[in-house]
Amino acid sequence: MIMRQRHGARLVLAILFCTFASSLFAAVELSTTYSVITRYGPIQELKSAVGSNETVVASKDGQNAYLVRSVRVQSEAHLLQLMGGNESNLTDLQRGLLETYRFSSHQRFNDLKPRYPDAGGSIKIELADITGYEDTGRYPKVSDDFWPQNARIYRYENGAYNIHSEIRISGSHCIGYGPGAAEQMKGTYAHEFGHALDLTAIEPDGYGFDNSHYTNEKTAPKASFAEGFAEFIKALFFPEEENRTRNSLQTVKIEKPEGGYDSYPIAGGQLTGEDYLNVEAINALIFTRLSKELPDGEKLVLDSFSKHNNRENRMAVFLQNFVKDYPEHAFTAAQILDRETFGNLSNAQMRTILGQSSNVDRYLASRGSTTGSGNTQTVTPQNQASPAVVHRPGTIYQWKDANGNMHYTDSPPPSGIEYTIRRGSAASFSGHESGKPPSSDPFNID
Amino acid sequence: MKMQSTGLFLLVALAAMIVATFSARAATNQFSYQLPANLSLLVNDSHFDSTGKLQLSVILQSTLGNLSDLEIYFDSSKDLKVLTNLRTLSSLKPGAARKIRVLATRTGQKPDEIGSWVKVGVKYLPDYDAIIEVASDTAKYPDQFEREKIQEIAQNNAQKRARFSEAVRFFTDQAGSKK
Repeated sequence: MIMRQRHGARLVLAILFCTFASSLFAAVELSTTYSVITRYGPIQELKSAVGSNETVVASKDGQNAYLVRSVRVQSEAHLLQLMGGNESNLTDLQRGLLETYRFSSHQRFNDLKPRYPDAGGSIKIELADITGYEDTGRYPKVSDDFWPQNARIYRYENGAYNIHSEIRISGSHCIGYGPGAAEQMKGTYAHEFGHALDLTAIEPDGYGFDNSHYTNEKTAPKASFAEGFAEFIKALFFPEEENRTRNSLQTVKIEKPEGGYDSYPIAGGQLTGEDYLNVEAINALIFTRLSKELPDGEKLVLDSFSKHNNRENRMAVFLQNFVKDYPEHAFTAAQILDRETFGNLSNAQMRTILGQSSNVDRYLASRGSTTGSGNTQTVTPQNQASPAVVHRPGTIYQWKDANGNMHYTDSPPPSGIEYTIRRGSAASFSGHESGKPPSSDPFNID
Repeated sequence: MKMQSTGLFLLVALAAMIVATFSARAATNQFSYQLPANLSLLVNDSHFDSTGKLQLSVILQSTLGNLSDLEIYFDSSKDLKVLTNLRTLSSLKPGAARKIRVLATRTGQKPDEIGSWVKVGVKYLPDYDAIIEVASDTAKYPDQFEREKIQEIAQNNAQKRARFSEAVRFFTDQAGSKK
């Protein structure tokens, strides 16, 4: 009898362990739906014509709508069949949908899936086929109406709310790109997948007055964190994005209440203190550099992100948690924060963001007293991008190679190549981790 | 009593439906420029004739520069067979429209899972110079960084002499309407 009880207890324990272990390693369920526009017209007309597997998608023009038919995709062959069956006859945007479907099964996405913030949730990818509706003259809002996005859905299931993500990819942001659309659509999928992993509840007016945001725009703290993280996930798949992101930071865009933007040199005085962390490009670069420059950095960044992932995410909080989680890397974290904010944070601001840590103190001591004095200079907006960003002492050479890749080096480029000089105090006084050659950091000026 | 409990049940069900699903704000649009369309494809007439054949009339028009080496092809769901043969055009000049008549008969098979449809597709060489010129328009594309992105895409396509592929897919349950 006792033996039986023990056996039963072991069985229960084993079941509990298996349940616990499987919940730890469970990857979120991912499904794909193909949807195609079958008709466009006045919204009232389409509402009366909607069929069983169709939905009416209202256009942002407020008058018209699209009739959209959807089928769950079982396999790549099935998707191809739904799009017409002949791969050589796909349109450029249909090819982008096919490439995105293939890309979504990339092993790296499988590795990221267990980081989805709700084991009871799911990710649904909608591949929206807008074939025949790309003409913005005839369908003026088609880009907006099918713009790629990740929507987070809270669904009450089995006594609890589960978080589901719906990622839409259509290529509506790549109209006119021809065969170049497919690569852009894959990058967008990676970006939206990054949003799916993130619990940040973006501020109601986090993106400003319009419904759009630039990578170098100053937005709200949570909006810029969410976008920066999504760009970081994209850069894991497309490393060349780091250079693009850096290139965008020649200026910062600040939205005007009356509409439109002013562009300022990034260190021109419009951003102070933590404002620098309200630019998604800066946040993306902080994530990316931590991931690239620390040993096993990608795992450290993602582990720390997942551990503290919540609705109130923002870069300052992430960095403070990161330093708490990995105090041994606080020096590098401080160094990266300093560089990516162009040396404009004061020591006190650096400490507020990073928290108390002996390695942070060590970095700040090595930084010298001339840095982080804050910006007092006022610069008028320049709507054309600035040719050079004025930092403080130290010289960074910015130039493009023959392939058009942007480089930032501490020595001039090969002769004959045009370059822009960028200066920064952070570089001139910042320290290095011992044993790491200064030249390994392209932003360092020794 | 029965009425009361049914009413209560309906009330609870309604309340549950309201709270059961809600969506958080989706991350908003990341700014990106698009390039203008090169080609317009318009189905301007569609009907089944008295013999049950589907007749479509498609207008083809260049909307940017001089398109060349055009290959016009047809596909359909398995319940239809397109009788019109593949066409080629050496060029399509700006403003010059071409009309293509498409005839399809029923095969007796069931439509595809997605419905019954005919696709008119065009593979062509766009006017790369015209695209690059548009992509360099600082008035149309004032943001330098975003403009450089579309210029790069336009130049890559030009260097590769990439063929563009566009189409219109007509679902037969809307025969009689224009698209």
